[in-house]
Amino acid sequence: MLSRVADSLYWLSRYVERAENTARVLDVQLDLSIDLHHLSRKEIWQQWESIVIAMGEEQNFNHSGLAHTAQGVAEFLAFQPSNPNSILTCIRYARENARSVREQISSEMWEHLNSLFLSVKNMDSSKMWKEGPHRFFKEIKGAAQNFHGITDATMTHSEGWEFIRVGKFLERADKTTRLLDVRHHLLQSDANRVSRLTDSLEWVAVLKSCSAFEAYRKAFNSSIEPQKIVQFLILHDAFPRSTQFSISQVADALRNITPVTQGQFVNTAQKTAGRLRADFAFWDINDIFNPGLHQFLDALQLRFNHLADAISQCYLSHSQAYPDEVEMTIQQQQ
Amino acid sequence: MKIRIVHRTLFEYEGPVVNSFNESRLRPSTDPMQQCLEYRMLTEPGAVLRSYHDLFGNQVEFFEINHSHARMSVETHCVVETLLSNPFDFSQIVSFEDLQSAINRETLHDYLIESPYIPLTPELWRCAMDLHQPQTDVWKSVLNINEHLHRNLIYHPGSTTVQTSATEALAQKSGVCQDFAHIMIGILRSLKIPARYVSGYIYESDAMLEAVDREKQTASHAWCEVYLPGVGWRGVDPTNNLVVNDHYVKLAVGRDYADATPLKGTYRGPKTRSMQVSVKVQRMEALVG
Amino acid sequence: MAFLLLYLFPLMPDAFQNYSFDGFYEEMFEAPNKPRPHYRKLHRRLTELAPEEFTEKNRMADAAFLAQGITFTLYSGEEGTERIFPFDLVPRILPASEWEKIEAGLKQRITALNLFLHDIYHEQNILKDKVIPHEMIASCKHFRREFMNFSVPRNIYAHVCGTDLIRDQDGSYLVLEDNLRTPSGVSYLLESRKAMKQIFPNLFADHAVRPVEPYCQELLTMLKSITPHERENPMVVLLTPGIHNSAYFEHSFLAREMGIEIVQGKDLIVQNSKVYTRTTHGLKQVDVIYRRLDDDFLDPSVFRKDSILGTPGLVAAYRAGNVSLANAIGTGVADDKAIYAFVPAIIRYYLQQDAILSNVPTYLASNPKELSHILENIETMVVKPVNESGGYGMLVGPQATREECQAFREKIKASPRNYIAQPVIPFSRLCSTAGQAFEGRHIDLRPYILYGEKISIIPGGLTRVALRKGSLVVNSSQGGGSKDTWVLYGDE
Repeated sequence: MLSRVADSLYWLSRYVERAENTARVLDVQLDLSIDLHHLSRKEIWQQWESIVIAMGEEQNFNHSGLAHTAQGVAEFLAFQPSNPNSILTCIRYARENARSVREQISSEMWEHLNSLFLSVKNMDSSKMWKEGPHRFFKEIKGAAQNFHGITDATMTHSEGWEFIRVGKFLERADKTTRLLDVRHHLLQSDANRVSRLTDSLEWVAVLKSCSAFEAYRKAFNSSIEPQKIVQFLILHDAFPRSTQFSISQVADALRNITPVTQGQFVNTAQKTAGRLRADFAFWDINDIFNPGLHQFLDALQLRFNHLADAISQCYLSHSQAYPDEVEMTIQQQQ
Repeated sequence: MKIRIVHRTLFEYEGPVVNSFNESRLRPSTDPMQQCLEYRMLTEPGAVLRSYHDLFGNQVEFFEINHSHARMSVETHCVVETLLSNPFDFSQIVSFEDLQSAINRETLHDYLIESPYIPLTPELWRCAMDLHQPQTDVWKSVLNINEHLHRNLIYHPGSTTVQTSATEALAQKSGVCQDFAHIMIGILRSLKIPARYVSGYIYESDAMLEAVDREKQTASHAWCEVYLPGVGWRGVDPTNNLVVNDHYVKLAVGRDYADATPLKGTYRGPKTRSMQVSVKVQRMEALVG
Repeated sequence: MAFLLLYLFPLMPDAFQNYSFDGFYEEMFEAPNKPRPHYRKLHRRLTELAPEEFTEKNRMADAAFLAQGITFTLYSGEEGTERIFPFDLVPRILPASEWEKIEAGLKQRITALNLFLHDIYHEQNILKDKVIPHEMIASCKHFRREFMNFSVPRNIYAHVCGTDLIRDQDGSYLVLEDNLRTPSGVSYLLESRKAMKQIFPNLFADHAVRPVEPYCQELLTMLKSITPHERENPMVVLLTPGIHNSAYFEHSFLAREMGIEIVQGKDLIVQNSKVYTRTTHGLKQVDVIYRRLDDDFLDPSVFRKDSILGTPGLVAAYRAGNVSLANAIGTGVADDKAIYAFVPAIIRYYLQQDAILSNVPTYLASNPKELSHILENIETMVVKPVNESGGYGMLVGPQATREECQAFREKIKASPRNYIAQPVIPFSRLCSTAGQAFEGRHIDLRPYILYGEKISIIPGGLTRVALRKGSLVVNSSQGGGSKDTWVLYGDE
């Protein structure tokens, strides 16, 4: 299919996933804040700040002039137009991408994204706080999930659908590891830090941020053990939000896009994805904690970036990064 | 006269660019007035050169550089023999009536109507009327206009851009050779004299430098040609108030700059940071001795 | 909307009660309440419709169009408002005998126009023989000198043509204009037929209507036939300006129906003078481009430099004979309304025949005598710029103010080559729905002609209707809608 079209499908998927992720994270943090009001102001702020850091938007946030409070972060992550990762911006981009490839997606998919955009567009911070933020985030999550369902049900599972799959799961893997990295850092960093009663609440929040709480509990009963949580979120092969699962999906999709014999690969994207999948299959909890969780996650992030680049290079490069034609200013004046 | 030219253009971009597609009219023409003896074009990055003849008879080369690159240079080397040592070598006097009845409007139509850079405005027409003395000799009229423009327009690099039309240049009464040529052509066409744009080079010998104001040396040059029945196309250079002789090397002709652009193209990527041009025009006998 | 207007009196049998002709040729009726033979069955069905049925059918039309995505998208800023394409339920019916004449006329016309285009770009005999003044062509905005002596596959320039026809007071068909650049509207035609089949299935059973569905298949066959390279399955793509173009729906529709890729300029790349599409699996060479982009926008390195819609190097590839374009570059010459005035002469010159379909009498402002006529009679004429389409930039004398007429006179005098004028032809009307009754509305007809190995003309064409009472403007961009057009196998 046309590179440009694949590029749009890939990105529209990433944006939808990103919006959902942000909504979920904000929702959980708001919930958590209610139980943490006994913490010092600094500590509470650190929590909120960590979300911004997890999204790589620290500098942008500091420039935005928004208050260093919960409201400030919520505003920044939900509605800020200058934040390319805010919910509103993500949904706008998702819709723009969808619009440009209308023929490739089903009308249900388009109508769904379009109405989501129209409803979010009319929302702003004050309205959200008045009507209750939880409702807003729930709408976003629901819309994203419905979008996936509609996509799976109404779009032929051929190349275009596979690119949507790649985008969604790559985004998911990326965001999950980032969040884990930052929150874990927060929870473990201070050597003098006394273990708090609220630690377990915070770990539960991490799980809920990944929609993993209930699944985790089913797997491990009641014990909230950080090591187990990390293991679950990274290595579980059947939980759809684990990193392993996500990368596996990406690798599968790439192999469907360019069919190749099992055990071989035709391009860097497949090779990178395949390698990752293989590593995941053989990693255990020690492989994660021996080098240090942060180091492990950092290295993983780097590999995800390489994978995204490779995918871009191999399939999407022709339409990437460059604006439309620019005329050379070569007409010499004589 | 045997003339050697080396013309180098270097583009540097703000970052890597791709899909560069370019067209050039840098090969000197071969006609009764000049012979192109040697020519080669080099590009860096290297590219395959293809060519075709456009409707004005210019040989056009085109090439593409698709892979990523951050700079592009185009360099031509040529040796041309120019033959018109005496541009006043014709004796016919062509009157305006002769002109109207003799010219084949079909083949010269393009050179009588307006073109993208040269709209035939009332201002141009008025200017033409002012300059048109009850002179019935077309050639004398042309020379008058040539001189008048040289005296009354200010040669001022930077006062116009590559997009400036004849209308704008005339309004501000200044420009560079491109603008001088456009204005002159506009006036000639308003007088129903077929006129066309020429891009090329001028060799400025020491002797010429005395006659010409030093400031006006532009290595890559533009002038115009008028059509006289029975004689053919004759060049005049309003920038220098000269009649085109064997010191001029012709690259391309057209209705205006748009048809004769030496080098143009498009690419995908960030802006062009700089464009550097260098042109060296030398007389070969001088080199040998 | 419609349901809010439900009245309580039985309306349909009386729906024609106040039907007036107003001196125009009425397609459906010979005389008040006397339908023409080919409209009899339709007329009866319409009078038998109960109000609820009528409302329901309107609703079905709207729903069908919306569901199938036949909408106009008006983009203001980033929001797109989808408007349902205005469609009128009452079809136009053409008996076979009428259609055969139209068809013959159109075939004659397209044959002559292609011969003309080829001649203009090669020997120019018609100019040498002074049938058309040389200046006419030389000053023609869309005359592409660069392509003189350029050979095109099968010597065909205009592969797809849309010719607009009207009917005068005597019921004769006249050609209003030829559209040989990128004529649009065929998608509405095809979708109207689909919708009608759902809305009036019984009516179709009652009439023997010629199918229009094969169009896309014929179009594809024709496109494949002009491939420059001998290939088993030539690669054909449709080049569109993109989603913001008002005809985008049609581009997308046609590409889908033909099963070909729809591309934008940025999806193509030219290497070694060959055209390729950028795909996820590398570059795929393109043989034929069905381009819905004007010549000017095809290639920023050649024509308009500010065009980001085209592909640099495309013209170089075309020139090298490595890709074919439908329509060829340069067909705009025949689109020029001033050249339109010469078409009967063109037919006589190349075919030694008289035109089967007449032109509307046309006055060229570039001709001094005709210019004075125009200036004197401007209030009774329709003045059109020679290169505009969509009904823009024209003056409808009888409906204009004195200032407007005066301003137009100045425009014409300043640039006579660019204007033509025609008397206002009172063109025909057809019964159309107007609220809860039927009234006559002006219609025209745009048949679509494909010229490949053979000439194929879709039966009927797009009937455009001026939805506003009294309006003569049928263009969709200015308040027009469409009707389904039925060509019968027989005469009833």
